[in-house]
Amino acid sequence: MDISQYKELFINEAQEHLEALNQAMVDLERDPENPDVLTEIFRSAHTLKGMSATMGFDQLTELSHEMENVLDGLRSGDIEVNTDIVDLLFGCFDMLASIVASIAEESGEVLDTGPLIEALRGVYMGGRGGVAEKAGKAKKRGAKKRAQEKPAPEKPSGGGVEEEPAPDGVAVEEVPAEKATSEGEGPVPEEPPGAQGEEEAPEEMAPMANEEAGELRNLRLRVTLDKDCVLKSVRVFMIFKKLSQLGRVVDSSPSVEDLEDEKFDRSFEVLLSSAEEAGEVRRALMTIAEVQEVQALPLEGGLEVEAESMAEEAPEEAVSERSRPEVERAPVAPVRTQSVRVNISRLDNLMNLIGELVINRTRLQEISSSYNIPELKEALAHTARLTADLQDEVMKTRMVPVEHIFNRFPRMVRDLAKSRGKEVDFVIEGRDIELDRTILDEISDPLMHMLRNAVDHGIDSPEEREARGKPRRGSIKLAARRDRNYVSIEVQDDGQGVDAEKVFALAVERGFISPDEARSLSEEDALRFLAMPGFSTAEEVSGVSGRGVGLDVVKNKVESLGGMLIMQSVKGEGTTFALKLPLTLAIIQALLVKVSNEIYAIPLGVVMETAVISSYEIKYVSGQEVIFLRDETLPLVRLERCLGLGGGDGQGTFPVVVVETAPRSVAIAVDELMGQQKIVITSLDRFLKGIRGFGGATILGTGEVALILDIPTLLS
Amino acid sequence: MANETRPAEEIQLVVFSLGREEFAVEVTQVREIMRMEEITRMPKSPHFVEGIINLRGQIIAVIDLAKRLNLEAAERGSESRIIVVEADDVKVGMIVDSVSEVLRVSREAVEPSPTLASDVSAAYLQGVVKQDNRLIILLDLTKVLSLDEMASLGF
Repeated sequence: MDISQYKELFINEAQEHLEALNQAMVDLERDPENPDVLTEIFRSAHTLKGMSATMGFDQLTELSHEMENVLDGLRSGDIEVNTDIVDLLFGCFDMLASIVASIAEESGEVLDTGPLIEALRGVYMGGRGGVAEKAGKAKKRGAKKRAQEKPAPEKPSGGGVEEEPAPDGVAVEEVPAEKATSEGEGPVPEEPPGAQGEEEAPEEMAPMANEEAGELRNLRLRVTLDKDCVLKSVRVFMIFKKLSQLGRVVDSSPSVEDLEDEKFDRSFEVLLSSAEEAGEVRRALMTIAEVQEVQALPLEGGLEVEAESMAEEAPEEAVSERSRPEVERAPVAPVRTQSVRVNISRLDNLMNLIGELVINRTRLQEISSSYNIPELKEALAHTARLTADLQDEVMKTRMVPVEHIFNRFPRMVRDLAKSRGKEVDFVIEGRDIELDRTILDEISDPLMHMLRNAVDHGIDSPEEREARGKPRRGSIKLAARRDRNYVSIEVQDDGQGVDAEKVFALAVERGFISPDEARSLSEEDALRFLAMPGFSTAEEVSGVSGRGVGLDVVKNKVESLGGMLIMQSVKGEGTTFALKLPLTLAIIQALLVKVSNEIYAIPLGVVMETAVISSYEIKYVSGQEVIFLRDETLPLVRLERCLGLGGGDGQGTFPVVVVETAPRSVAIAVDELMGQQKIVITSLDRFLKGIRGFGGATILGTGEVALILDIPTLLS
Repeated sequence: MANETRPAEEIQLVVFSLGREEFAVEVTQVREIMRMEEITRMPKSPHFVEGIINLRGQIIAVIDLAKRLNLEAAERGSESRIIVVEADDVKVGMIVDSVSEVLRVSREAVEPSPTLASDVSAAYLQGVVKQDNRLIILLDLTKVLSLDEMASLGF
């Protein structure tokens, strides 16, 4: 097995952990006493460390190791949560993210983690009874230091692990705080090797069955993975890598191939020939993240024979065994992971193909309507239903919960508010609402923009707020909700709102409207001005509203996705910006061309190639303009003329787009090629449907409208 | 909408001018009044279709109402407006010379017989309103935006 193939998975997973860390840290700052949050942070940091170590990324391992020490101090109460420490940890997360990014880009950039590691050491050395109080990092703490607590040693029994609370910490809530700290190790089954700071935890291992003295022995082990383990193949790889260091894997059940293909539930068995003791092997394996349990099994009978039945029994056994002590999980059939990770570009391709298919279907239906063949019509009707279903299904596979992008916002809002000297409560609602992946990616920036605006201009400073009789802390809410075929994402603040009068005054000043007109406008119109290009910039309206900053960009983006921007504002009470977005998109790749100063989109599916020709290359065959391209004679169609726009006598050189149509390809002459891009198809309404030659229209990133050419009907 | 103090039959009209005449459409059919903006040409469409615009994410057609009604329109200027109307589920923008007011009249004030002299074909008229010395022509949007009508025009 080659480790590089896991790099992408590693990066994905590392990024997820970092996101979770950022999220949890924001929560922790708000609620420093919550043991669950700390456990969560610890768990993610630990997993990250384990992953990095296995993959051999030493810098990541080292930094997360030092971080873990501080986290451990926080968890034990030796170190108190304060803003400096939170900032320091955020700094570490950013550094980890940068390192992961440089791994992803293979940039080979070496980042300096020295200062951070120094600072982390300063904190935890200081926290552990002031062994080495580092110079700049002397913090006032210790007042609330919980005396009797120290990192508890692992329970010296093999069963201890099974009784640990589940990662979601159901049990943690029920035990008193101190006990929670000692038992809260749940997700981390052992004291991780790195977390042993000054006080070394006793390294006692559960005595496992089958311990004989001797040189090489056969060990039969059952390895069970965490129920939430997402990348089982990676875990398998890590486990086998570790095993190969300890001995030789004689056999496994299911087979290695099946294991790598994730054809197993949560546990599998291996037969290892090793000089190590079972306990030692177990210990080594348990350091791999998301390995929930390693059991040594008696070596009875031939493995070959038993392997067969094991394959079926093992998973079920493992689950029911574990579920008994936990009320939560009923001993039911194993829940198999029914999902696969698919590269988004594959889904994009699939979606593009379906887009083309749909356009082609329309074309077929048009052809069929000119020949009255009932069988053809029937077959086409069926095809239409199938393509519609297919489109539907593919759309669904592209749906992801909005939390994918929402999760990074709390950190951003926190940092921004802090740097602006504002106090903000940030609330997120509807994390689980699903939206097309592409839409989600596209609105990430606009949302960030709106949140930044909300902090910058929506919420006033604590002093100003108090002076107005409002609570010091402002509130910003980011909420997603489903509304029939739309998803609405709202950014709501309880700030000053938009002052319509001032907006009108500015609009008059800028020459957008006359003073007379200003009088007849409504508050709603005022908001619309804000989204007009060039209406305002930050410094010019600071103190007025400042809401115009880039709102036109947000509006164009949302509209190019087939959605709309809705604004509401009540002076003195706050402002709400809502993005109303379609659940899914009909996207195609298109080549944008320009003729007569208008932009048209040609679906890429029909485009064979583009070329630049000179007018002297044009020949005439029975009065029709043709060109020769690669030994082929292609009729030349001037797009302007074809569209009846006049002109189209382009001389000199001009680009042509060679399109594939029946009965033969055609070269379409245009004024300019604008490049290819993904566009969202908006269908034309009933009023325009009768006009032949267009497959719809699209709103470009600039807000302009471009018609999508339906080449076959246009040329027929 | 029906206020107790007013006769229930009252209707509101958006009054606009086009050429030398004053026209109106019922306010309930008006979605929006916009200033002129860049219009994307719609090739191969009837002569009165000016093009298409992006109305907050929706693509709608804009027609030159004067051409549609075979009137002579004033020059496009700062007073020109696009009235976005909706009838029979079709949303269309109509370019007019200027929008003057929203008028409340009782339904009885609308005279159903459009036999009065107007430059506009009677087919598009719903009635006329006489107010002071003005004669305001109420358009029948269903007819103005009729697809059958357009089909008979040859597309």
